[in-house]
Amino acid sequence: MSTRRPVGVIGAGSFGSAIANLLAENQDVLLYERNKESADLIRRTRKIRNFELSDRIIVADSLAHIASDCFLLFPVVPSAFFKSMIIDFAPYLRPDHIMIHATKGLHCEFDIDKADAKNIRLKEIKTMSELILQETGIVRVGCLAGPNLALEIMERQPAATVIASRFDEVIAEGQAALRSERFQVYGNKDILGIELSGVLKNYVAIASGALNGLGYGENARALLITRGMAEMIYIGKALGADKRAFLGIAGIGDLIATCTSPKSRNYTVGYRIAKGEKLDDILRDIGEVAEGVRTLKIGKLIVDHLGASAPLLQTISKVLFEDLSMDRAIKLLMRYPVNDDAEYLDI
Amino acid sequence: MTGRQYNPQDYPLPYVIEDIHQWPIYKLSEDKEGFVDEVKKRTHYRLKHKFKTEKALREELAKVLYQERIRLTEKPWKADPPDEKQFWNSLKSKLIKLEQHAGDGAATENELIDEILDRYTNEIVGNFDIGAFTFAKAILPQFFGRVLAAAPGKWFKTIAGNVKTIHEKIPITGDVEKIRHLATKGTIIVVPTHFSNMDSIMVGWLLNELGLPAFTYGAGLNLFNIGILSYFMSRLGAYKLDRRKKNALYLETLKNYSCVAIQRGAHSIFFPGGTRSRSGTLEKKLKLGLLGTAVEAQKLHYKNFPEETAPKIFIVPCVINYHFVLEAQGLINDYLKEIGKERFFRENDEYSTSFKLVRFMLKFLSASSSLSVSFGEVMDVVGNKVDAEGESHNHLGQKINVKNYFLTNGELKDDNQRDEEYTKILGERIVDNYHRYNVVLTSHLVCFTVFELIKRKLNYVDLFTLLRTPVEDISIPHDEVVQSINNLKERLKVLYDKGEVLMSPELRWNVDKIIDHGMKNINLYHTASPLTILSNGNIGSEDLKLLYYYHNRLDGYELEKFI
Repeated sequence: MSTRRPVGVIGAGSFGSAIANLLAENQDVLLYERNKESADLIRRTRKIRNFELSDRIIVADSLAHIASDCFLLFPVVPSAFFKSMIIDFAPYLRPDHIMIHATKGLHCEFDIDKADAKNIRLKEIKTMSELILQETGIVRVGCLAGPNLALEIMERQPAATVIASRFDEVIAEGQAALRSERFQVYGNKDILGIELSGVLKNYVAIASGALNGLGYGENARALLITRGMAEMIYIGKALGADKRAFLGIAGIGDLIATCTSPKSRNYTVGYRIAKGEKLDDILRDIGEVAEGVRTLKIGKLIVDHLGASAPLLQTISKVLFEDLSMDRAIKLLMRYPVNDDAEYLDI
Repeated sequence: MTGRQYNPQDYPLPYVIEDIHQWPIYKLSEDKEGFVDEVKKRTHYRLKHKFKTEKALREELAKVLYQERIRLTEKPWKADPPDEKQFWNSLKSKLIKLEQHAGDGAATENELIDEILDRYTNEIVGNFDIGAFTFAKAILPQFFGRVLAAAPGKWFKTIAGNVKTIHEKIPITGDVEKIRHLATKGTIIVVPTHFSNMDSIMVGWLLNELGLPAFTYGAGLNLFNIGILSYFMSRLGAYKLDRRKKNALYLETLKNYSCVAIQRGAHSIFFPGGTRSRSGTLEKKLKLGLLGTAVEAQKLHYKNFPEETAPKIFIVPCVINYHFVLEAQGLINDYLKEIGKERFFRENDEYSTSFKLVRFMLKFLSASSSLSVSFGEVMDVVGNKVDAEGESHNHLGQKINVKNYFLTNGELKDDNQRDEEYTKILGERIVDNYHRYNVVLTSHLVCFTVFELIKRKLNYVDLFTLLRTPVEDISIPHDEVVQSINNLKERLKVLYDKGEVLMSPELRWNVDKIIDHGMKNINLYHTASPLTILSNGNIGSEDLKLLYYYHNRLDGYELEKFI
């Protein structure tokens, strides 16, 4: 094999380890697990959630070690923990590091449960790449997003992803590290658009799970996915992204995957809500973070702050947080006045 | 602010390098031939990189020829050399010959390109002549002094008792000591805001007063149409920019000229706004072409020198604040023409007559405080702050090795797209500095306030309707202006405390004095006063366009919300 430098993956969750396995096809990988006991366990069993890790993956528990051995870094950490991770990492990071994150969430500088939409400042809501730029000395930042269900990647099924960055070089380095016979890597220069695609699709996935929970079929789902994408484009546009990103692999592609797969956590949340369970109970069961719930809260703050209308987001958030029944929600949505088809192509 | 502060009587400061023969710009001029040669070679190399095949080169040549011939017939200038037509005609026949009989004794693409690059480089290149420099230095202060002592007339008496030396007239804020020190450690690139054609002369002269070795800068070829300016500029380090030439060969020559000059240590002045601000606002978007040559030169330093000895390039933003701008009328007309549906009469070039220039200089020097200059944070080429010793620190305060920005997998790598992104980042930091180191002058504040009040009073619909309002109808009660300025003073103080703007000392005065000072200064030069006191004591305006122009200087701070 080649003599490529090892790359670092930060976060040994299910997606982190899936990415690590993909990367291990092309070079050695240092996989960071913060918890020493868990790190030891992975070292002993060479398994994460029943999936085997490639032999080329070394489990590391020191960020300093990863920063000194790797130039290319892939943080895959839930958005709620991203900031504390990046602050711990920052002292070791230099401008010659390239960082491509794969976290589909947003960071807020304020407490999202206490915030008042009128008084928030949009500047205080950040994408992960903005957080990296703010908290570290790294400049060459990228993001990875796409229809990449961890389970299927672990099963070595064929798939594709998008790497977005202002820097051609970041895209090229990411492609060289990740590309394989079973994994295609597309490039995109609109990093904000790609990040927002990955983030916003989360709440649409919750709605999709809910439809299924109510026993509705494919017509309803197709409607949801198409108009969900339209809404994502409007919100993205309001935040400064271009619509193109939403129409690509990381946009509509990822949306279809998450909205149709019962394997995704966001989907599960919606499904069980529709079955009448309480949000708190579901979240306790899932264990891992369902980004969609956070996204919904933040998305609602953004939309309310802008005084905009995003019927799907606003209705789903009423279902989750204000006890609106799913039945009633569907009725509300179906009554929403509609106009031209595919009008979002003209904005 | 750190470092030693200087008082007016300290100027001019001693040169940081005493022996003029050791100045980078002098050395560059001494080896003019070698320098020109290096620029040509580099440009040629870059062009071949850009246009990879002979066919692509030939097509580019044809394009250049076409554009140049159009320029010759449509925009001929006095400063053009007499053999222009001849040169391009002969090139045309050579290109035709090449297209028809390539290989058959015809000049090759490369030879034709060399011929053009030779002409361009020799046209652009500047000189630095110690004799002319010493002469200018000796003569200028005397000229200024004379003008002041002998200045007769009404306008002078009204501000009687205010005869000051030029140094007292131009307060300088910023860490002068740091800039002086860094000029001995690396290459300084001053990036000023651009409001007036006076800027380059003003900045060049100021930097000299700070005791820095002479700077090189690009001056519009049209300025070389004026005999006396041409004489000095062409001998004091200015190189010629021809804005009519927009072809790839010319632009590439210009960029490489700047890059090689920086690499050879020549301290430079760039106006990153490209042209003068037409609307009177601070620059928001920069032209990145020349700025990119600083990034390129820094990268090449890392390529050519071992890490410890690689010279460093320092970027110094500079904000020039005028109470009144010579070309204000023409600039704002240009702007309105550009954005509007309205037809505005285009004024003549303000520099067309020496009379206008002299008149402006007289007024300029007699104003009680014509301008102020502030230097922003010294940065490296990627926009990190630099400390007194030239070390870079990122926004987290971590010490940074700039070389790391140019490494990929540990190796120095050429990547134009990456460097362009760095240049954009640098540009953003410079714009940010412009706003934070902008000194609010009394005239700006009064103009801003009055214009905003007029807007309110007329139920602002759109700019053009407002500007068409008959000036007789403009009348803002004095008390309202006082009240609003008081509010804005409060707001400016908040911004100042947050480090988002600077204030001139006069803003500490009471509002009546501020209005008085601001109006005196702004009305001194313009024949139609942007601000007038009406017979009933209200405030009016004889020229709304000018008022709008000066108002724009405080655009972007959201001050209108606090009136």
